[in-house]
Amino acid sequence: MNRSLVVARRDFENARRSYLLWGVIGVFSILVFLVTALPGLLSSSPIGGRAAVVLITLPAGVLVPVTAVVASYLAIAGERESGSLKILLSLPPSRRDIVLGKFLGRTAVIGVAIAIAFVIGAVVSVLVYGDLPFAPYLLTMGLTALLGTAFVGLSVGLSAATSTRTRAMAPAIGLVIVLGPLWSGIVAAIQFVADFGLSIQLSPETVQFLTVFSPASGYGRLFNSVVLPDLLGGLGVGQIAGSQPVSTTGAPFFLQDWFVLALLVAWTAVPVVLGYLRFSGSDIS
Amino acid sequence: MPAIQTHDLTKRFGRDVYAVDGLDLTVQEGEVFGFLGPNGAGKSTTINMLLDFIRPTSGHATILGHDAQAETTTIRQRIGVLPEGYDLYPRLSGRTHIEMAAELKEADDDPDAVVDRVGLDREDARRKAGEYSQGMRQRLALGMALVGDPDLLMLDEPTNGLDPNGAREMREIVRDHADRGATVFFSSHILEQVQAVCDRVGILTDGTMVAVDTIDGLRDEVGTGSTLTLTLDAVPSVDIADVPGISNVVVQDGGVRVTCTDPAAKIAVIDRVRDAGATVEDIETTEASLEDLFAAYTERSEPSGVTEAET
Repeated sequence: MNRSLVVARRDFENARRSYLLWGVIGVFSILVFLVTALPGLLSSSPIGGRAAVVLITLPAGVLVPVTAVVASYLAIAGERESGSLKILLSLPPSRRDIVLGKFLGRTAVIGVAIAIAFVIGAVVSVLVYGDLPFAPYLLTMGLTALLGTAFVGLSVGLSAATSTRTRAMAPAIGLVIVLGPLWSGIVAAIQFVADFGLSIQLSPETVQFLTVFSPASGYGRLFNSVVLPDLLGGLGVGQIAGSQPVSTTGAPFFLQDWFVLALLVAWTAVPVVLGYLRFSGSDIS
Repeated sequence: MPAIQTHDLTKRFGRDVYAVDGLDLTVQEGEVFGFLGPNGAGKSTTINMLLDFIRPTSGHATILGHDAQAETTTIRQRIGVLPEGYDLYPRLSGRTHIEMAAELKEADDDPDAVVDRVGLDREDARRKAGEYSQGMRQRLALGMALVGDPDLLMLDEPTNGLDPNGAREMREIVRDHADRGATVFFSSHILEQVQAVCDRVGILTDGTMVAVDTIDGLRDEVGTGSTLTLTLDAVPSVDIADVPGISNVVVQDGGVRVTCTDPAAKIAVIDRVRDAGATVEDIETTEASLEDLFAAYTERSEPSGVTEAET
């Protein structure tokens, strides 16, 4: 455990000196600034800083996965190809210590990226909208951190299972696209095949489940059901920027908050474990 | 307890490419062992198996009495490694590398002292490792290996990329570490590197060990003794081939060249030509180099249909 923390700390130290990473974090921060500030600057917000809480999830839901993948997909495969992994493997850390350490180090990187974005969002909220709903904002940041961690877990797991940069890159890009913009299309395709191919009419709950199965949609769902009702409840505002408060009362267990949360955790842990198992059995030469 | 021991260690790539084939090797505690062989002989594959970078197809290895596959952390706390084909962390300083090695080995080495010991400039140690020359990289990697005063140093081609001066310093550090009572195991395809520092050498060809002995012992075994070249005022008409302890006589313009398997034969040869009336103008002797030994062994080991693997 101690050894994986040392690996994590040194890994973070190395990663935070990467210009590419700072480029991605920069783009993310600028988009957070634009998306949260512009609506308030162009027209006055009837709900004050609460608008900022909703608005920040839009760039976060899209760009946190991208940033996490860029920050993590080379964590092990890149070092394996260059040979710096041999430096670590010549020292006491076991392969388990290394996978765990890389996961923790890159999680810290995405944590810093999210913290920077949310500080920018908070400043915008206070300056443009006049206030900052503190608790919901922190809760949203926590959910965003979970989303980031899930994508770090996914890409570190992939990275552990692959031996070269190029082999790690293709699935990493695929991951961001399939679980992001393509996901609703995939759910529609599943529905189509079930309906016309197998003559099975999927229930609305099943379709909702398929939708929240993707970590980014799960994140959106959790925001809508955990943060939004309290944030907008008393205002009678139905919808803002495509986000609508969701009530889970009476919903099946697989649409309850705890289950969606567990899915996010599974997206984090399962790939890391599978990646480790593949990594622990492979030849490093 | 041996520092390194392998039993029937084998690594097969694909279906029939044996990079290492049934290797039995014992390196005693406290000795400097040179692991010799041409490129592609299986040296790195063997070391990578000893370090658990790759897994043997069959066979078994222990390092300092610990199972090389099952007890990697325990082993790496007690050994220092300079692996083949490694890379440094380009964005971290040399000093940070040393600090990281010390943290992970739970050693309290002073980074400056390590940097000094391997001849790296303290200013350079504060620069990013990505800016290092090959020689500086090797020095830093050796420094990381030396952290924690390891009982066993395993160096894979440590003089690669070093200039002659750097290679000499590397040998001195190796010798110095051995004098502290540690075991040193290092591979090389450059024979002079090994000759100068090793107590024993093993010669690996096509994945099999063809010889393990002291350098003197190998010399005796192969029979390539030293060569005596005499420059004479006139070649005498005397037969010297019957002098005991010589194996080969070449009469050439202005002298003779004799291969002596017995050191005492040299004086006998000189006496013989002087008795015949010749004046000896110059005497030159050359010891058989490992190069000669190496050629002798490599040729002697029969081609067994084993395919050479580049690893």
